[in-house]
Amino acid sequence: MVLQLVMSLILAAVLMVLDYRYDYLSSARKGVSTVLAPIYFLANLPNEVAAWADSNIVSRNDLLNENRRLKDELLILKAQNQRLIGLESENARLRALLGSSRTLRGKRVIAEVLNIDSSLFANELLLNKGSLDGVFVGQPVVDAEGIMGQVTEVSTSTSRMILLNDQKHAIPVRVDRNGVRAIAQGNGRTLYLRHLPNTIDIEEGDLLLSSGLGQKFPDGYPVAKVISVVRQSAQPYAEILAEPTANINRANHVLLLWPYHDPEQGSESKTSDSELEGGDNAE
Amino acid sequence: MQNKQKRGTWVIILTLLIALILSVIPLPESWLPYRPDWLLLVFSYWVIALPHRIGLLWAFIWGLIFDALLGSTLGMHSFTLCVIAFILQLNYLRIRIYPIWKQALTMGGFSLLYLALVLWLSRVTGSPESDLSYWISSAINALLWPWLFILLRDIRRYFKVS
Repeated sequence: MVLQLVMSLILAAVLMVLDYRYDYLSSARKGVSTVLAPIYFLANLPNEVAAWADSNIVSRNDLLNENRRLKDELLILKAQNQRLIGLESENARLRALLGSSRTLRGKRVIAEVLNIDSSLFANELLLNKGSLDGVFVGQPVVDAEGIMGQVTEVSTSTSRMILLNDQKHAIPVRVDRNGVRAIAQGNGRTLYLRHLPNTIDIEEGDLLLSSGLGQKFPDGYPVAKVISVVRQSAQPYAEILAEPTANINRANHVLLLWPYHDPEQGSESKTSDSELEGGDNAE
Repeated sequence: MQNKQKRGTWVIILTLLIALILSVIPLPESWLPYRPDWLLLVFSYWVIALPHRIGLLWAFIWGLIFDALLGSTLGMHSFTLCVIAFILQLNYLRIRIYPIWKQALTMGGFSLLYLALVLWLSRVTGSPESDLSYWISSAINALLWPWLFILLRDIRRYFKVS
């Protein structure tokens, strides 16, 4: 009995070390999560029913109102988009003049957030898309307001993403106003900018965009807004806190982004990658 | 089912699965600290009721499943449940004859041990600090135990699990 206990405790400890330090168990984990997918969907069921009732038991008047509002919003967005198309082509022409090319839009897929409290301490979400839809580890996830995080674990029909404000997550950013670069790390609730000197030019309300330097996130997406800057001459670095612009706690749907690669032009995409790097260095 | 010795394995598995679902079902943010540790309670019941069948192997496997479900480090809950199962197996005769309120207190104590082990192991693997509300669920476990005990006992008698 005691021997059995010692054996199983040692086995569990070995598993933990293997899982934490090395990557050997990711396929086993993927298999188990695939088998467990029905549990996720069952646990999500009350939520689904509520959503169904919400969308099916509505008065005609509410629907008409919503329809009108959506049409207005669509019109505004379309008008803004027209201007963006012009800007985009102009930007591309200017970049061509500079000799640097920027990757364009790749594939994108909308995923639903499974409403499940399935993490002990970490800020994580479960999505209802998995390797069947081509989701991969490290994939950037955004919502309508900005970057939300990245995928950390993929099973067949679900995947797990880590949010920007998790303590284990960091993202390279630049300040929209003046292009100052920084690394934004999570602290559980908000983000803080690491290792910036007291003399840095960052103010409250500055918008932080992704800089694309880590080659994980596409550049130019909004990440966070600076909410407090504390400069103390006794401290070597300024204390800068920023709040994610994405609706991290309330998102129901998120957008998975794929990098833009032409499948037929594998070699060309490689050259454009190196050009992208060159372009970023030149900036 | 198969023979006289082992009946109703599916009942045990079903109750444990329901415990798993209950432990990830969404709750409002403010209720989160009050979520009982369903898997621990249901598993403890089956160890006390059928110590000759439910032991370390079950603890290990269900701990692994729970880890995969939560995305925590694989083996964390296996470790914890194995320790709990071991202590329960040594003391099941004593716990069975306790009056129900004393059983509830004992389960509260086991919950504290379980929470402490989980917290310790997840701190070792790099999780952030937690606040005092983390420990509330042990009190909830103790309050819930009498009802869960009676419910599971009736289920076990109805399906004649032995």
